[in-house]
Amino acid sequence: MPTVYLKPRDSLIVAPGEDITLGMLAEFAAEDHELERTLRGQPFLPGLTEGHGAISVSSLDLVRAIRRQRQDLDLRIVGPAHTVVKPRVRPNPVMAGIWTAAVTLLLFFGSLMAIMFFHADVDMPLVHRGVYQLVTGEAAPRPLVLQIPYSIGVGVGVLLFFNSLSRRKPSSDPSPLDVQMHIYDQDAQDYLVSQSAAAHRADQARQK
Amino acid sequence: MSAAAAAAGLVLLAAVGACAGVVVGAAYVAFMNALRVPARLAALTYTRHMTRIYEAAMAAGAFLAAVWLVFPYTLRLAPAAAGFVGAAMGVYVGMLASALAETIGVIPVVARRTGLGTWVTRLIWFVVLGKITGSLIYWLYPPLVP
Repeated sequence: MPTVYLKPRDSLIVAPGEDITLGMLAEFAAEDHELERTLRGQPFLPGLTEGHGAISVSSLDLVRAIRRQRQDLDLRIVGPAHTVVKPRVRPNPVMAGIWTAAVTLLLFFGSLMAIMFFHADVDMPLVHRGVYQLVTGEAAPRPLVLQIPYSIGVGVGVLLFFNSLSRRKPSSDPSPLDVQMHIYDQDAQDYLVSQSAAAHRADQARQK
Repeated sequence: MSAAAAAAGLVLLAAVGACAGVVVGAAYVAFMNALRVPARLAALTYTRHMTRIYEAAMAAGAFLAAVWLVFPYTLRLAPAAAGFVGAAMGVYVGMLASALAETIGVIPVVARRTGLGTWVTRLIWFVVLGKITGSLIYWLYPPLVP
């Protein structure tokens, strides 16, 4: 009985209408390369329409699909138990432009106001006067020589934190924002998987 | 008797003050650490092995600020020195503000809802411009400063 290892992918984004084969959902490893190739090419699902929501494919569904064709394989699953499949969304260039402009304005004026709120909230003018007196020994009601470099420094700090200054390859050290986006995507995927598992259990309960 | 009571009172006050100091100092360092500000600075400059020095610097900074509350000493340096101090304060505040905003995780939500995806990371430049402009307006426009 030939052993086949299959490693389902975490997620898959397909072009709308493209048929989904087993090879797209999982990686296969077997002694027999010909067998590997046939398994990869085996169709699994018809293509998703453009606006279709995400679906979650259980690794057991993959096993069942293979069993229907071949009963003489020893299937071993390594890796995630679910694959989330989504149709690719092609953004409308006009809308993307409008959204970009809107987000840009939001981020710009939002940051502008937020830093003012912060200064007022923590009584930063008092601190600046104090620090100026500490350094120079003189009192100044508006120590601009401290405050203008401070303002530019605030921007530099944001850049430093998000690691946007260097033009290095993403492999070296990802920006916290990249990490945050990844965590967010992963959480959304976990939610989809657990929802489809719950729906599956409800289905089974109804059948009993 | 009353002298002993006064001494006991002073000892108690000192103990309360020391406890308060330990709590505030620990809270400050824990907060900065939770926001990963020193960690990011060490990672950015490839000086992960210097963390002992960075810890000492944070402790020394907090300690000197606390001492200044009691003994308002002054360094009597030229105003240009205040410019350097201001720039350092600004970079720190900028990192702190970014770390806070990032912990709340607004930007990934904006990226999802608008479908802009990784494009949003480039829009960080507008956050930077907004922060600088907002800060400059705050300091340069007299009615805003109390």
